[in-house]
Amino acid sequence: MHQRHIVIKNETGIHARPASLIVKEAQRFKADIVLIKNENEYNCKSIMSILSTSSKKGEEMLLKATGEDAEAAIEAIGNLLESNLDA
Amino acid sequence: MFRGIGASPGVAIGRALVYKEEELKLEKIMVDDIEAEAVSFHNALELSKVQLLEIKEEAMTRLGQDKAAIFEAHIMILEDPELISQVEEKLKKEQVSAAYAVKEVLYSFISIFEAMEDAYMKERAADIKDVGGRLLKNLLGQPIVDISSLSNEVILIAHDLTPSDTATMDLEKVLGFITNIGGRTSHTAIMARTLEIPAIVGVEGITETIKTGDYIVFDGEAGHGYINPNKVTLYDYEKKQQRYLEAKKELITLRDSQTITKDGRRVELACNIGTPKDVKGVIENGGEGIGLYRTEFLYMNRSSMPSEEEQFEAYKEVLERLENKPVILRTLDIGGDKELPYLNLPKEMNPFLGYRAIRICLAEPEIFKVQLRALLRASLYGNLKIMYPMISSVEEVREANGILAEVKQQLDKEGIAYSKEIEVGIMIEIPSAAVIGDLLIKEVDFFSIGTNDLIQYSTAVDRINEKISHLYEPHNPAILRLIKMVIDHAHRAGKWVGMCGEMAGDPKLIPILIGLGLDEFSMSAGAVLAARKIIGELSYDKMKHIAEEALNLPTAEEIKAYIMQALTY
Amino acid sequence: MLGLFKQSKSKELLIEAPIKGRLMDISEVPDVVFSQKMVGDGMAIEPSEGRVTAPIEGIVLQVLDSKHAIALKSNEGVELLIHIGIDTVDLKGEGFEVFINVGDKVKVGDLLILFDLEKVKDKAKSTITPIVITNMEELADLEKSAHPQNQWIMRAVTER
Repeated sequence: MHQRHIVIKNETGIHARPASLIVKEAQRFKADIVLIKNENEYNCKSIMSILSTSSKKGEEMLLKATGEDAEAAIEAIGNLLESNLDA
Repeated sequence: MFRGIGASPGVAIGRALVYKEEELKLEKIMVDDIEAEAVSFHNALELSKVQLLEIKEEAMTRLGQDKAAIFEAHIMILEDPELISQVEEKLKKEQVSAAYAVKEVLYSFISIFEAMEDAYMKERAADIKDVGGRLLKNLLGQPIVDISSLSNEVILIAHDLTPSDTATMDLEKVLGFITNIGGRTSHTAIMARTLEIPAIVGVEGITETIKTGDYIVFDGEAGHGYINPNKVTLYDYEKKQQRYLEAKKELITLRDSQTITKDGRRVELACNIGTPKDVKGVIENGGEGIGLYRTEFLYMNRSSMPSEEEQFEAYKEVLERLENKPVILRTLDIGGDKELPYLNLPKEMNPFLGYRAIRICLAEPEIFKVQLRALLRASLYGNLKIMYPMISSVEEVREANGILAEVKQQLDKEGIAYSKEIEVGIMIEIPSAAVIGDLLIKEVDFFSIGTNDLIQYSTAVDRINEKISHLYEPHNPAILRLIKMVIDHAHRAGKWVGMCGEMAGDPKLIPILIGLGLDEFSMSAGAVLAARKIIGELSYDKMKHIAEEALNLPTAEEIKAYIMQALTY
Repeated sequence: MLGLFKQSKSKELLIEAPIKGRLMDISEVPDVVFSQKMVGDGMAIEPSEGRVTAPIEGIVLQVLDSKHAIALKSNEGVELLIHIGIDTVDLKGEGFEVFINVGDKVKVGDLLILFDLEKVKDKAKSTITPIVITNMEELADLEKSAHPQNQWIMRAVTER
């Protein structure tokens, strides 16, 4: 199991377009990838889950991955979550 | 016989297709064969995906990538692992029918989204409802009326039509529409007029009264019609339709003519548009230019600000298609009723008197500069004019022009070219601006009178408020005098005045506006030809005299009666 | 409530033809002021005889000095304008005879005006006579019919 503390940097938080980018990316990996915010777990491969995190810029969350390519998944998704997604 | 609000002129005669959301009755049914339910569920998912893919293809070819993206999102919802696993869980644990399980899981997601503060997220709940509805219908074996490909010509009867409905519908086969709700300025009405399809809105209960297959006739201008009419009524409607089409044909002959009064005064008839798609109507109806390009449509219905490139492309497209004809672009005009969730504008007590339009642009020049850059770069491709909305003082114009100058300097530094002859004007919609018209005209090249707001602000009337909407009266002598004041101020400075509010296209008001000396009339594309015909039969001299007399009368009623008599007798 | 309209307070008025002749829609009148409905909505008749009778029961609101136009108000509150011919004002009343006064009460069929049809044909732009409802904003609905089977040419429904 790998994990990483992340901070959302995107201006508009996680809206539909960025959310779908995250989901598409997460689905490339075999690992189970979740975001933990306020003790709730959100499945990164589910668009509904990601959207319902209602994340704004500056929010902090924990990214966790379990499975074969968990390390790579954390790297990829973590970077994506902390990037300027709207660009 | 049914009656409603005439939303779009024309006569429709044909068979009805009722487009209705059935209240899906989903009781908790216990089942024995969970396997079978799971299989049904997955089959329904597949079927829904296939349907959406087809619709997405249609939308892409007909409407472009942007509009098609909605369906992309819908497909993603159907593939969502949370949705699927939660439904499967429910089936196993509670042994309920697939339809019930799906409904429950959907409702839980919908409530999460509806509870969010973010306006954009709240709207996503509607997406889930839409896809969910399709999934459930497929699960229950109910027919889904797909208006994007119709096999016969129909008159569409619906509760209301959403922007994605009107965007995807098979226009060739739609003879007209009738809706339960809506008014003259609701989305359905505006779309119907833009698409030039007859429509009546606000006919309460019509989706219950009319059945698919009923023979319908209706008059979109008068706002009434009949279900399964008798011979006599059918005869009258057929004659009406014939006349309407003939009158349209006759007007088309005026398409490429100039707009000129009997005694030789030329004026310009332009059109109001919201998106590049509207340009087609402008050209087909002989518009001499665009008097108002509402650029805020570029900013709406999206999750983030449109980039400079995006804006540049849209402006360039419109300018190129209009060639040398003038195109007046109004800078960002939002706030009040036009919200932009990603700007996080504070909720106001008085949005119409609040932080909106040019006020936002001046307070957040970064946003303003992006638009101005896009406008300047696009100016090379046609005859661009820029107009600032909601101006109430000289200070605001100077500030805006200051920012424009800064942007020009920046582009000069970057070696990016732009037209050196861009006219800059302002909308006169706030009474204070009308009063200091002589001072404002020194700062700009033209005025365009926004009568919708000018009337509301001057007479302190919210035209949507039924209790007082009768006070919204263009013939109010105060309004006519304000208009005259504005025109006179501009003319004294040797500059021109246009009008982009509803008044400009109203046949009853065109004569007096001609008499007051208005130089440009900007209206919806469909109103241009009739306006040209009317102006061609008016004498400017006679109208000038009539206007002078009318402005001495104390009430709107007397002014209306006086104009009528002067014109007819 | 269905879109079917039958409120207890509104009134319905059936308007008959005030002149014998060929019936047409207002949009066919050779004058934009009428054909573009700038004055109101209605019908028009190309007269076969020079005789105008009251199409409704009500009172006479106005008669022009030049006698070629008359305004009436029905008991239900509908205001009608009958304008004989187009550009007939130039005749200055020549050949027109008026049989009522402003303020008079009239019944359907009462004689209002007699005029010389030939003269109008000769000197005016057209004999086509618009029959226009000038207070459209007070109507809930207006239906028109050119079918020979109908006695009425217009059916007006007032609000309230």
